[in-house]
Amino acid sequence: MPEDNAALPAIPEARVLQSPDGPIVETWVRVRFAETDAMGVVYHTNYIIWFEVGRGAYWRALCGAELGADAGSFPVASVEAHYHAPARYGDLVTIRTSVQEMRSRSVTFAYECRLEPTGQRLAVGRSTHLFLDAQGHARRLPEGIRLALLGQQKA
Amino acid sequence: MGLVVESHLRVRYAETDAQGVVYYANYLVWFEVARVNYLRALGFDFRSLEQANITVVIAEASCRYLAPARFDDEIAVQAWVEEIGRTSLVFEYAVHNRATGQRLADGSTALVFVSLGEKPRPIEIPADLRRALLANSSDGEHKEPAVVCES
Repeated sequence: MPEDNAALPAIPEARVLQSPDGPIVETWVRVRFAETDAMGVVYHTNYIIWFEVGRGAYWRALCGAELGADAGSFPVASVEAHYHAPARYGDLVTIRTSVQEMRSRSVTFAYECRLEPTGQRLAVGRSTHLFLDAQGHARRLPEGIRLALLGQQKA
Repeated sequence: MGLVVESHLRVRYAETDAQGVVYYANYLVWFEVARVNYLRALGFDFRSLEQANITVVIAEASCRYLAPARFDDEIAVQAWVEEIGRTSLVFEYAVHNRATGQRLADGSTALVFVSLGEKPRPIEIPADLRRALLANSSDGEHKEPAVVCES
């Protein structure tokens, strides 16, 4: 690899913070030109894709891997976002993901996007996911996954 | 509810994901198609707003998912104005599969009108647009879509 790469600041893939309300997983995205729109800012739908980036990091950090398709799935039942300030091309954005609510058959993740290095809040949101088994029926969350998502045990 | 504008679209392969269904964030792009068509049906377009140094930003967006859409499905997205504020508008949406009539999703977005310039700030909805919105939104009764837009 060219030596120049060594000079690039390292952005860790993710890190896990412990809070009284449970784990918070931080991950980072650098805004791509493709994510901006004619207003010169990040197109609003892309925050919802960033929420998925955060959720994926949360799964990998606490459950070890994404859930295999044969084990079931977690389709999105609802999503919402509240926009506070715009992000622009090249910005580094921190995505903080946590579990907001755990029910027997669903889990709600909460997200917060902040601009680095100022910490300015860009957007917050949440998404609710049902657990479906491999046959597509809504089921109780398997205990191992439930505990892992709460940071109480590895899946 | 007043005026309901219905936009028709066909699911692109690019909009599907590894689960074989439309990726959930894409419904919010369809909402944009629907609200642009709604404003166009009233005789307004975003481009002329921007020429008047006004832009519209999204303050909130939400979507509830009821059933999946798949590649090549013909989709209807209905849009109507639920709330008219001083500087903001709330649009609501209903998404259906046109072949089966099944409801796939519903959602809402809050838009804020913003003046472009050195210090962007919320501004009142332009008077002519407000008049048109009020004229089409007041009766509170569900109506059949008055306008259908093919896209």
